[in-house]
Amino acid sequence: MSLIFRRILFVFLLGLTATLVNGVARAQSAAMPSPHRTIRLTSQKITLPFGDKVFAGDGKIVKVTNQHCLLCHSRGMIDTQPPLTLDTWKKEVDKMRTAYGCPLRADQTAEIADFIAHAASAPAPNGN
Amino acid sequence: MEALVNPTDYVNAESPAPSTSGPLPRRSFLKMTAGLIAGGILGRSLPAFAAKLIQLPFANGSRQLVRFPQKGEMILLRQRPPLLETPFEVFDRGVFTPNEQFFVRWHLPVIPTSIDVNTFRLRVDGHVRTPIELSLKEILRQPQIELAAINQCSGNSRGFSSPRVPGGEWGNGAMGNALWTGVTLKSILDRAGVLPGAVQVRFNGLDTGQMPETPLFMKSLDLDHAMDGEVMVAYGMNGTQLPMLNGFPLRLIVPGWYSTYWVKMLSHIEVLDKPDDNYWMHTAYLIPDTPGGTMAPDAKDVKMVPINRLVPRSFITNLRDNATVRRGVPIAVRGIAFGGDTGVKSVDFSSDGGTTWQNAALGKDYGRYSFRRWNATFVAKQPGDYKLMVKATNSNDLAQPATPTWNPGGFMRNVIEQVTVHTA
Repeated sequence: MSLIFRRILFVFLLGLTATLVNGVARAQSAAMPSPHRTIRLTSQKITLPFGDKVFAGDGKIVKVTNQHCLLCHSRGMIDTQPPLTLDTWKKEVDKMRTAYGCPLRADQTAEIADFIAHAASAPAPNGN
Repeated sequence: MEALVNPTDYVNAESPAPSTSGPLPRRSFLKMTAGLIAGGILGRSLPAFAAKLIQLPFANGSRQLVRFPQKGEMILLRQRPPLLETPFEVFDRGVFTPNEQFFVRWHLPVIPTSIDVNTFRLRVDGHVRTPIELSLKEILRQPQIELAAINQCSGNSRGFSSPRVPGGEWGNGAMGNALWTGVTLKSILDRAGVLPGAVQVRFNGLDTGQMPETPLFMKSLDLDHAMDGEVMVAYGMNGTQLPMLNGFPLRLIVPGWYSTYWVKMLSHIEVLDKPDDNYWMHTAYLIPDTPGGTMAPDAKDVKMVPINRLVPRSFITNLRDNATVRRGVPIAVRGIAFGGDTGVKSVDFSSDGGTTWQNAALGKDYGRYSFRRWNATFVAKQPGDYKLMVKATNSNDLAQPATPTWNPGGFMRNVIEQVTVHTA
């Protein structure tokens, strides 16, 4: 056998093996090769609502709550919570500070939790 | 093409409410606006517009129905970053959930509002032979696969947790089923060449936090899972490109696993040579290492592990709680079921609160990760209430539990559902 023929045979066998292995893999997989479906991708641009409802009032704690809690999420996150204990609210506020980088001082969390626990207990239409 | 938004398409809750509502303090608004403009979010508030309200069946379950860009009517849980739930009646219409009513869940508030398909790149690096950047054109040229798969939020149905837990208070609509078109993750990793010693693959999208300290939303899969030929990078959802809010232009699809792994606006794949210890794998999205992820609410020192495979669920979709049915005639009941990380073996239906069960007929099989339609009938012979229940068992013989599981994250709820109807 000439060298060139042996090389062609080798490549052919390699291809055949790959096809067989592929076939087996596909038989075990829920993923199906599709008859090529044309998905057209076109550039997209949208505008998202900000959700700027705040807690009303002039108190210092209202201001601190609005400036910190509503920095990363709209008020809907608070208004849709179930009735929670003050302790749970404290843990939630503290998680925002320690895990998510909310620029609060540790000594502000208890006061915010107390404010939210009361403000969130009688919310009007949810979901802002 | 630009899909611009008509502001009157929105509904929001500026309205009459509350003494607790008022203008945003100017300084903080400017501060926030500066950050958000930098992040590409320009929209501020939208005018109030005859809010339609619905009530989810748990305490503090009042919700508005709203329309976000490229989406149809959805249940609003939070505007920023958006949490939008699929109205439950959508699941009665078919086993594939339409893109415009597919649920939406973002963790981080700075979400790109425009994507240019010509400049977008998917970066693959880390423990690989050749770091690469793929254009969408290159990805579209690769061999294509398709797969029907359910995308279900880890916390779907969290609002039903008892005792209640904090979090996104979803009803049952934080799930959907779609036909996903794309390429295998394996084919992309093979192009970069995974090096010996790799253990996990980490995924990141284009969304970021408002504060630099907020951990980027990154999730990881073990290497053998990532290379299984089913995990895919999808550019198609039900035959068309994805809506922006569902992850356009590329989304990771992890069939049979909870949605937390299905990274949206996927832009970076990083092969790791040690297990990922980032916040979203190590601290968040943990479940008790017990069957069904359940624990007693007062249990201490429970071993926790990252959430993973879906568990079976089934729902009645054509009869709502408190519906009235006719006496003495066959009543058709139908719904959807899924097996989780494997197919549906059987669905059982009861019209007597679980005392007796009948095998429901199963509809067309779109693959083991898909919703499956089921049908049954019953006759209300006597006047009164009928407690209808449905239970799915998957191909691994895992059945839905009769009592609810519980964990502090409100994850993986899959108790047998029930609907009470009464005779006319």
